[in-house]
Amino acid sequence: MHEENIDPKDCSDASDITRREVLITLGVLCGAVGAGAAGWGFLEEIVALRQPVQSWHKSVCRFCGTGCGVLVGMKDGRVVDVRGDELAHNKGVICIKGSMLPELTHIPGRLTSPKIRKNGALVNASWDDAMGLVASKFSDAIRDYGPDSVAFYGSGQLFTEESYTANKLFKAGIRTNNVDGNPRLCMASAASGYVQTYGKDEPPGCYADADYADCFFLFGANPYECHPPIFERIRQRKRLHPETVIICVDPRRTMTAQHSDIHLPVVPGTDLLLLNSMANVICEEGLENQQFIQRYVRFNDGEKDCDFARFREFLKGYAPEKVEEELGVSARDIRRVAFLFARSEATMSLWTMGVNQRIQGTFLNNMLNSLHLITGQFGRPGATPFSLTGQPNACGGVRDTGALAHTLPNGRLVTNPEHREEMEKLWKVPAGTISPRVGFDAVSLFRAIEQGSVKAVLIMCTNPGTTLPSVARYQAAMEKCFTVVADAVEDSETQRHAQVVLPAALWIEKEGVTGQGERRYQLTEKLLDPPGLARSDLQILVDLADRLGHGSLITARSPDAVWDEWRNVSAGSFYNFQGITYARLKTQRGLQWPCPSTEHPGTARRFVEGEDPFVAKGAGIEFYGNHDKKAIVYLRPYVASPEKTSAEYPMYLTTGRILEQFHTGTLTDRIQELHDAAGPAKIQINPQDAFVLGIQDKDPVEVKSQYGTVRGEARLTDVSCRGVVFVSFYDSRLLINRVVADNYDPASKEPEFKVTAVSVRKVST
Amino acid sequence: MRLLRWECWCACIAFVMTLVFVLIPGPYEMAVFTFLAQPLFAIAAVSYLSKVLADLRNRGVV
Amino acid sequence: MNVNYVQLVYFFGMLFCVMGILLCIRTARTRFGKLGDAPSVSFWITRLPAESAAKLIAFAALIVLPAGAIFTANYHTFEGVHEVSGCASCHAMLPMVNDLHDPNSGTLAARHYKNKWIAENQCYHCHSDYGFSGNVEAKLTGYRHLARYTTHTYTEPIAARVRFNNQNCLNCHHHTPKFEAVQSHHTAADRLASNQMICLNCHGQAHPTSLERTPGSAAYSRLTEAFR
Repeated sequence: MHEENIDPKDCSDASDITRREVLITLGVLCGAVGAGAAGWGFLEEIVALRQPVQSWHKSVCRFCGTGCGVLVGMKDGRVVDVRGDELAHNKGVICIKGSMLPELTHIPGRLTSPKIRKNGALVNASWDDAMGLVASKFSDAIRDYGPDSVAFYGSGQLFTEESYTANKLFKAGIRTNNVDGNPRLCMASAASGYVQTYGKDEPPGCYADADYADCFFLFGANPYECHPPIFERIRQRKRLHPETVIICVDPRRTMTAQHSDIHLPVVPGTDLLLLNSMANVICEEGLENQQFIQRYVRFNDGEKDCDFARFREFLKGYAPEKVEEELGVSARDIRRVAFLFARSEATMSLWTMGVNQRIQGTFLNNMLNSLHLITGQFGRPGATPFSLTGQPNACGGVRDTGALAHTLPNGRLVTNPEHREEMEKLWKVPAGTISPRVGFDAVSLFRAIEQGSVKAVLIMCTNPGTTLPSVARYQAAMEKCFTVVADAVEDSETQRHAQVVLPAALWIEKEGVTGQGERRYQLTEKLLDPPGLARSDLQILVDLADRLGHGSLITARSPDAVWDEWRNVSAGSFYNFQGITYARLKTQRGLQWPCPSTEHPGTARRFVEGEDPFVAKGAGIEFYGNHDKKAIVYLRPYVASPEKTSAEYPMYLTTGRILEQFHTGTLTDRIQELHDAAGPAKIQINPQDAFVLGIQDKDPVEVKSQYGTVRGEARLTDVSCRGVVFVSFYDSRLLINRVVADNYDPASKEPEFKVTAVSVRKVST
Repeated sequence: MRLLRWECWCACIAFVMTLVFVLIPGPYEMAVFTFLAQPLFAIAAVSYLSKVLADLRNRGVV
Repeated sequence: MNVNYVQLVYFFGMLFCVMGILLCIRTARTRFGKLGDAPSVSFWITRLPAESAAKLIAFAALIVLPAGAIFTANYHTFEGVHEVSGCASCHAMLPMVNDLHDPNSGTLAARHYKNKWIAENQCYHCHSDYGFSGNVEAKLTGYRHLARYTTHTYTEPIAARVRFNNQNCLNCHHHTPKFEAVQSHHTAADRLASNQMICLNCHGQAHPTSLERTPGSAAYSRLTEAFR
């Protein structure tokens, strides 16, 4: 473009800027600022409107013993999102089950009305009718047969306030110690193991120890599937410190084993040989920590005290070369693992049902603790023996409250007259109220029901009709008893044998505290109303107490009131958590006890000076639960399981959980995504075994033991090692506990779910 | 008759803001461009177009 | 590509803006309606009356060149957010950027960087919504962040208010053998695709926690060191 013959004067007006034009320009500038601000305001509105969540609430996952902190996102009174809470101990990590918690709030099949069985069928009834019937049946039984003719079977999934109230009602009101629950089936051996060793229950360490360990000893645990955030934490440790060693002891080549550095596929039922053999190697090769032993450890042969020399002598029978054949692990691997355990900077053991659900569960727990004690792998960050808990509130709700047949709150025992007297004073009941007789533990309870000595039982928040070993026997037993079941969902195996079914609130439909595996108490606040006529289990227990004439005993009737009573009861014990108030729990991501005052920050590592408020200054480590303040290492002889393989039953059955399902699936299997991911339960067989048996993938097969038979679909997988069959217990259509033996640990009374001799054969349908 | 004085000044100011942002890509420069320069351009353009429309109407074209 | 983008933006940006300024000044000086007597103006291959030429120039100055400048500058915005240095130019982002480059950090961002799983523009690969791809929501959010940051009307630690777009993870991880092996990835595919469920639930923190990013916390000064 070029211009021609333009008179510049016509176009050159630069000096002619008027004030009006300046003002207009400034005005437009202001208008632009306004437009910009309006645009910003518009953006804020848009973003606010498109918020999928109106408010976030701190809460706790409903499922396993990891006890993950979660954030619950609410909109218009509904749960629309659940995230891991980055500020909680789990650092924002949860698993697929926790991610599906929004669906839990509207699963199908919720119980919305009390039901009474009439003419064989459960029909809707009013609360008054149902509870009136329950109270009259219980009263009649107590009157005619004595207090021990009734029982309470509770759960590690009830809130602490609920288990505490049930325990108080039955032991101090009704005066029976027939109070037990499903933690007997999972954690009793861990509890007895800790108490025998340290004088006090509960893991001494914390999840944060996984951030410091150099050697992880995973024993009878599959945290990849069963405590996923904890295994993620272990993997994180390894990512940042690749020299970290992960050792996995498991008869199956689980996902945990596949992600470990060393997998020891022990023969089911023989792993005490491994622990004793490791101890032998440690003692013979000078790997023990004599300084730690001298200062903090005492030895006991099960009857009387002895010394290290005696311990060493005892272990000679467990030299690696002597045990390797029965154990299924080479002497070389035993020595290697023993060395790694002893000589790593910090070794953390994690174990769970593979150890606890055994007839030698207590002994296994003792030995795991003992390995840490003889090597000094204790009390430092990363060095700790950690028993993983299966349920979200087995620790806080049942073990700590003493809601088991032999215990009273805070580690007390019913057989100890001083303990009974203390609790009678704390509960303000007359001396002699609490029975000195140990009540029925889980298996014994259902055997007593079978025999007819227990006439009425209240079962809350658990499903023994699926979870008991040799379950067919005990399902039949429940028919003989007046069985009352309080549950959130209908149609469980247990309810099929119940005379009264009571609808219970679920998760955030009620308020309460749970105590997860690392002694952390966390609060779940009520965010929703339960459906229909459902009530919290606490409300049901308070109602029952009133109707049984014990209303004056149960003075605390709301969750916060019960909590206040309970934390003040704890003040006189080494389980003191008096400083953990609801107010603190509402603002903090849980607190670990001991926590004796509201200023105390909680205790990450127990028995350690500077962390545990009960350890004297200068003591270093102090096991104040024992009279001499020392931990006890026991000489524990290996006894083979009565379930030995034979020509008739040549394989071992073991059971367990899978990632997408929790326990008997009454909750998780109603969530479509979890149901689809898990599919129906399969009978997992090693391909070599299947070849010998002529079984192909998806063939119908029968698993048989001397206790029962089940049929299902085979799945060939080398996750099952040779000779091992695995079935998960979430699917009631494949009720594997029909087949499982009901042998149990004589000390803990915990059944041996993990070892049953079985046969497997192909069937036509 | 001068029709487009303030529109041009505003557009000039907006061009300067834009040029600064092009040369110095910082958050403040980006904000000035996004929330000031763009509205300025828009206001100037709308005013210009409205004047064009009025002119066309006067001429009977529209 | 990045180098070319910078050159393109510089060239066209300067072209549009300088020409725009010049033409605006010329148009501001023009007396419309009084150009009828002025001689016609030559436009390369044609000649236009002076009035028409002036109107064309005005159109260029107020419509065409501003459009070009706006396009170029927005292109600059959407391309600039590709680079880590772009994100680091905001103080509020320094904890994320510093953590990204920290070999001792276990966050997802740091791991992806340390293992070279993302070769360059690491922020953008997971936050690609700010660029030309991705959803409108992310862009609106981005502008909101810009407004908040430059007016200092934000508080630390900052917190995301909109759902993260899982597609940013799935772009790389979908259909890999490890991804396919997890049953829940299939059964919850709809939830992942619609962002109802966030990948981070199972796979951990992407960035330092809000506690670490709180002014006064032990990690804060380390996390907010100037980015080089």
